[in-house]
Amino acid sequence: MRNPLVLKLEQRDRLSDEEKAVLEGLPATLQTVDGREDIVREGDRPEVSRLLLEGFAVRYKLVSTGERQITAIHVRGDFVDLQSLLLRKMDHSVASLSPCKLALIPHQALQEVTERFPHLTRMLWLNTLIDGAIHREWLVAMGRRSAVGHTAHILCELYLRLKVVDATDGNAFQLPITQQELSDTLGLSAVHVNRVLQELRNDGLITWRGSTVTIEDWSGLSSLADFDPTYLNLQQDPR
Amino acid sequence: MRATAVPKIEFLPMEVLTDGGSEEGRLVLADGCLAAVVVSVSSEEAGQASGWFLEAGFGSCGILTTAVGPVFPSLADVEAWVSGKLGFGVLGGMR
Repeated sequence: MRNPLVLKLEQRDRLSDEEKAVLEGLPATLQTVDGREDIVREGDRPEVSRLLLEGFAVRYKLVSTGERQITAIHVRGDFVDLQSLLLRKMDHSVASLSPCKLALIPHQALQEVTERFPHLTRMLWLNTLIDGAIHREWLVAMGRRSAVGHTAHILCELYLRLKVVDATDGNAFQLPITQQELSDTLGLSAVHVNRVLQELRNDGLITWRGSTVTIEDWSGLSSLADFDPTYLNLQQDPR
Repeated sequence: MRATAVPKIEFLPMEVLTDGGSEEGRLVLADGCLAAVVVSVSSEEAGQASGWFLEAGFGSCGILTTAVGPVFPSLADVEAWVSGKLGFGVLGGMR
């Protein structure tokens, strides 16, 4: 199986054989976690950054009422805490949704990459810039889209992000998320999430069985979502 | 509605459009003033135990103090919550 980080970066720019070898040869310890476990906690000062090889993880913050806001969903090929290389202390937590396999890459090794390989350094920078672009889209959706449009938007986004790392099956993909977790992601009540999913199903846009989501009508779903994938930077450009 | 006296809470049965969900609802009046609309939801809709979902809230029962509508186990819980919100005023627990 191809290294998912290489797959993800190669979608955005060409990597030389040497650069691919550097990424694939990064010293890493493997970590496996069950579903719904904390991987890194707010306040931690990690000395490694974690690359998600398999599974789904989320970034989240808790507020004083005990409610949770999920601020990102990560899929294979994503670094869940690359920013800890520079930001040091975690200002949010990361948890698994499904069982996950992660590569723990020492900060020191990443730092050496940044000292020796300027283009790879820009690619890691690009990686965090795309994370930032996704955060912006989520903020716009949370503040200004209808609940139905917001949900459709996130499904369009996840489908494309999973497709890049060979994790879709035709029009279908896995999304092991509960109604409550989806509500924490969308900032909606669980009741509204239930109604939104009914609406998307009744309109023939998606089916959702167990953890398998199938997009039945991409053009209908993406037009409902007002979805423009520019922010995912899916084209190869010299960077 | 910022009086410190406990407001009189009444429930007025009302059918509510909820896009396929239950339509059994209540207007919640506090001293005759519309404070909230709650709708009966099943456990499947609620993603937790069934109850009364805060469909809409007004004044300090609304988005000024509540990010996401809660599901209350019973109408007595709705009454206690509305009274609490009105008693505390707009800033809720901040004072």
